[in-house]
Amino acid sequence: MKNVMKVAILSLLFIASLWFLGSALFVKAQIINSPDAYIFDKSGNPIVVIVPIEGDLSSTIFNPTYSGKAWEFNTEGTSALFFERSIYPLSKNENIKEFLFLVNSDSDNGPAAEEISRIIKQIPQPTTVIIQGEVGRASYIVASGADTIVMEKDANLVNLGNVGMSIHRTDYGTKERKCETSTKDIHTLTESDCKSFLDEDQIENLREYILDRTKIQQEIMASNRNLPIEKITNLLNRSLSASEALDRGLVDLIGNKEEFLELVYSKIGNFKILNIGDKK
Amino acid sequence: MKQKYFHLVLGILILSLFGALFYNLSFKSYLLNEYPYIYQEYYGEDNRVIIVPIIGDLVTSQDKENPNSIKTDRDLDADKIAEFMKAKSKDEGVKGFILEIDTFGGNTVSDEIMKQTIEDIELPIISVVKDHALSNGISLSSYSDYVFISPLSDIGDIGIINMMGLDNIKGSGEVLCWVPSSKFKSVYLPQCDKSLINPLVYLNFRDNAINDVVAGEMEFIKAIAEARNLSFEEVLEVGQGKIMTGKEAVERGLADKFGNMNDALKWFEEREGKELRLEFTPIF
Repeated sequence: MKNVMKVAILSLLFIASLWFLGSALFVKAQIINSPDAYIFDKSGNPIVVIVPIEGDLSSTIFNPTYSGKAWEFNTEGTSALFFERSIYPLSKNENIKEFLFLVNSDSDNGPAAEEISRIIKQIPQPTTVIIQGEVGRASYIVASGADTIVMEKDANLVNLGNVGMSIHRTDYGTKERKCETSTKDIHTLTESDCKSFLDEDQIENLREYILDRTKIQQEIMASNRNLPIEKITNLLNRSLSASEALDRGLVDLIGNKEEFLELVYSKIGNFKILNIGDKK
Repeated sequence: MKQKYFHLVLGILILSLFGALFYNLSFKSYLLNEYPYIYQEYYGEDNRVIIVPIIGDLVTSQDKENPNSIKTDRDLDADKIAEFMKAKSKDEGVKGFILEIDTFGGNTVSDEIMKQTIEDIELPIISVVKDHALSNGISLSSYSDYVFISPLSDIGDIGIINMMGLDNIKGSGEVLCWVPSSKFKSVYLPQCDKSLINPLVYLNFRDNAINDVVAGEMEFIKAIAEARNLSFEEVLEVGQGKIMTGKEAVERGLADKFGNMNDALKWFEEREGKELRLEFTPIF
């Protein structure tokens, strides 16, 4: 056999080996760098997933380099798209026994909160939210999607259901003008800076916009918690401590993460924690 | 090459090939048996539903290449989306498309491109409205076969804005002026500096533009009404650039049901009678 032939045969075998090995390793590396990395854990222990929900909530964070299923959606704040792509698929794994969400956000993005709440409700495993810090406005919608709401004793619920709105406009030759308002300031709308560049119809339209969304947010919170809506509507200008929130049925328990994990241990014994926050 | 070295290297490489092949197959088999949903994500070709992210504002390829057109970092190329969807629709493993909509709108040409694409593709195309489906967003959702929406989504803003650069009579360059089809479309629009423009040129532009945008808005309403099987008057009520909640859109028949991507996948699975998987695609 000629040398050229021999080299060609050896090269082909070498390339084929590299291809079979490389393609499997490439996929494995992608999985290891994703929330699905737990699948290579052979211990068989039950898993508890812990997901922080913090910063600004958003529906979709625009990212022109978005690859379709990556972590970049959760690099700043928390997006519903991240929940859809990365958190919900984890629920298909039978080793995962519980989901714990640590909510610490003062966001007023109602649509994003509703989307995240809806995904939490679709997770078949038991879901628990622990409210930390000052949680308000739309973020309680997220919490209300879980089976159980725990509130840390120093945490507060603030301005539940409040919808904020900000319109900025810079006409030629003038400084930027701003119209900033919210549900709790709605009664001052006609005396606000909004009048400087919006006419009466536009202001009325803005008022309707805010009040419609406030009502829907309140309905979602009440419906998720099986509470009469009156229990929610009078909380717009209120700050509630954990014990007040418990008395009003807005949360189920006062406690913290460690107590929750002890409770899980008493139910399922040893378990592993998949902390999604570590991957951010 | 000496024969004995050749045989030695050949032997090693054949063993390596078998080893690599065994590793590759056992890795795939492990995923397929233990985590079929992950296997499908990386290796599955069949039974896919393609998510098309409309996360940004729709323009054409020409707009993107034109140095004089106004650009934002949210611009999406409608021509590329159309090309992508048409190519994917020929793939036998693809069972349909989900338009994932979060947009403030776009221009009328890109709207036509998307409408034609949706009409041309025979596979079902449904929409999931996220935070916003404004202007082109509501037309896009209306053209699709079914619309899932959040009760808190912003949807609507039906109307047209005409923009033109008019000669600056006191300096060089142009002064940009906008004419919206209704006052609710104009909330964010700056007023152009009329002291820099010939008043007769401005009035002429404004009068022509008003006719154009009002006619454009009527066409817009007609197209949505036809697509959603509603009367012109029913859509007209929410025209003039008004923005509805998703809840109101469902009540008015402009969207079908509250839901998200999981609900959209179930919609396809019930239709096909089997389990399907979502294929995520990049933003265009």
